[in-house]
Amino acid sequence: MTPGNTILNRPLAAPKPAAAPAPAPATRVVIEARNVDFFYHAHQVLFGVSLEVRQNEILALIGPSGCGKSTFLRSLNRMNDLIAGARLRGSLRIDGEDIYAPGSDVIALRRRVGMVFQRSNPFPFSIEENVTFGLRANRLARRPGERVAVVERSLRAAGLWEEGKDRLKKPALALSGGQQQRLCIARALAIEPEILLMDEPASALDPIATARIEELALELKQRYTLVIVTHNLQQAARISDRTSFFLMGRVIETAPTQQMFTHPAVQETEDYITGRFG
Amino acid sequence: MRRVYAALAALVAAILVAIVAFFAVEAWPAIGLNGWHFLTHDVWDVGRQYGNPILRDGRLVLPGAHYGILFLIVGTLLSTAIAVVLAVPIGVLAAIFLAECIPAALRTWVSFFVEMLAAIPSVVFGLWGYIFLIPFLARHVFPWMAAHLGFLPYFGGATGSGYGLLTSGLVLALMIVPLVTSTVRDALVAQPHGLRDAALALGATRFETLRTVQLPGTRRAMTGSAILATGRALGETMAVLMISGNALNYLPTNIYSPISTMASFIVSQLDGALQDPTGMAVRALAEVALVLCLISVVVNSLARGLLYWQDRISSAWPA
Ligand SMILES: Nc1ncnc2c1ncn2[C@@H]1O[C@H](COP(=O)(O)OP(=O)(O)OP(=O)(O)O)[C@@H](O)[C@H]1O
Ligand SMILES: [Mg+2]
Repeated sequence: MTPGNTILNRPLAAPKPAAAPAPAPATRVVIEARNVDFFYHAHQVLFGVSLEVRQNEILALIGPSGCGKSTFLRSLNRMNDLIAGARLRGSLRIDGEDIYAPGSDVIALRRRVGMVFQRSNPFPFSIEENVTFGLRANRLARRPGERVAVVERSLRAAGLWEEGKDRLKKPALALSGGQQQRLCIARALAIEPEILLMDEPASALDPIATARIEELALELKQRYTLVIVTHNLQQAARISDRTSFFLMGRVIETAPTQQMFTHPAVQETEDYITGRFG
Repeated sequence: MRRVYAALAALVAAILVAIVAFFAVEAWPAIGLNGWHFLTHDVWDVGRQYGNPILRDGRLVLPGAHYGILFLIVGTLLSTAIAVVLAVPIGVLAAIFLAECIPAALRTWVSFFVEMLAAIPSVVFGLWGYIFLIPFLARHVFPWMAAHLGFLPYFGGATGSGYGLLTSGLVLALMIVPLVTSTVRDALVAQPHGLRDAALALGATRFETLRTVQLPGTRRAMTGSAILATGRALGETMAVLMISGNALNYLPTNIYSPISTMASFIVSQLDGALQDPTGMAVRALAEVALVLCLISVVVNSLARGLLYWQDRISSAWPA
């Protein structure tokens, strides 16, 4: 897939033409994947994936079902480690550090790289206990008042404070689907990650709840770096800064979202976004 | 279809009530004769076989007959308690090992052997205990325990022949471990991965995830299997008969003491009781059976209460 790779490299220079050679802080590369291959036992599902994610941007991953978007996303916080026979080859760096290097700290990685899942999965505890779970696991904010402050900050950041503040001790499972998903976002934010991975975070939600998650993503971009998998191309177009198109385990094209949706550089991308397959 | 189910459920309930009612009727004269002493006295004596029956409280009994089963109640409850206290943690640990620590392919095989353990008839456990375990424990283990753990209450003192309370508890534990293991393992494996993944993604370790999310999710299975296991241990007859020492009219003084349990006592006494021309001994055994049923019901209800209470408390992490 040589066309994929050449196109991949182009947008890196595009946003800031003729700037100083050192990248400005706003475009600092946070995640850098180079030639990532991924296997489930002998079954290869990612082939030479290379892409970069920059600080405070939203990168959308699109592509037909089974093309490896979730697998790639889950390798960014090493959630694939749990799957027997899963194996990664190539280099994945976050803040310049190889996260698959022998002896690298998975727990510390997951603290920096939060994840929101397709199906909201709040714990069967109270709202408050959901938000503080990560604090307790990582032994953060141990003084009593601190946790209260974190709960408020996180729920506010996830747009759940107004609805949740009077029922902090109530079971999280009593919330609506959209609220549960925002609680999962709040829970991920509580430990102040640097990056937030979202795997189809709104696919199980109605249009209004989806719109709230999208708004939220745009707000979160101010403080975090987001990678969002979505099947909803309009969603990708609405919220993402750049988009990577995956096809059968390969990155076909990564480009600024506007550009990809108006002038895709590769025929396959065009076929996909115009709905000719997928 | 609903009506068929309702009818079947009613039938099962009716059979249960009928059995208990049958024992209540059968035991009624003995209940009247023995009163509360039945539960508080620890002497069981069917009386002089060849003496002439005498009339007591309007009932014909053998001279010297006296029925008290405190020693049976104590033996039954203690051996069951030891078995459950040993089996539940061991069973849960084994379940964690099977569900989390070994590959799925191996899990099938090891699980197969665990389930086989549950399929072994109890008389085989009893014989194994009789031939192998008792001499081994009596010679090597119990003396060591008495010497080194004797400072604990009931761990010191005479270690006896190996027949007794601790041996019964150990063999019962072995018999009920598979029950706990397979139930909890199935619950762990069947759990949706969502909560586990959420915990791990928040930086919890495997162990923290198990403790705070996965195991609490199996609490119902754990308690349920403990209830079943308790029921099985309370009612276990054959194996206990072969290894308990069949103590008569004797309250255990330490964990090595010989005991009897209600279920095994009914078997061991039935033959002799049938010789009683007044029939009172058989009625007293029916009363033993009735008490055993009652204890099972009480233990079951307590366990169900526990389940209900568990469901109401959250499993918050101690900060
Ligand atoms: N745990 C697993 N074991 C084996 N193969 C897997 C596993 N998870 C995913 N796969 C395979 O890897 C490939 C990529 O799957 P992945 O879930 O990454 O796709 P996806 O792009 O996220 O699809 P979707 O859009 O349907 O979520 C698929 O062929 C899938 O069958
Ligand atoms: Mg997916």
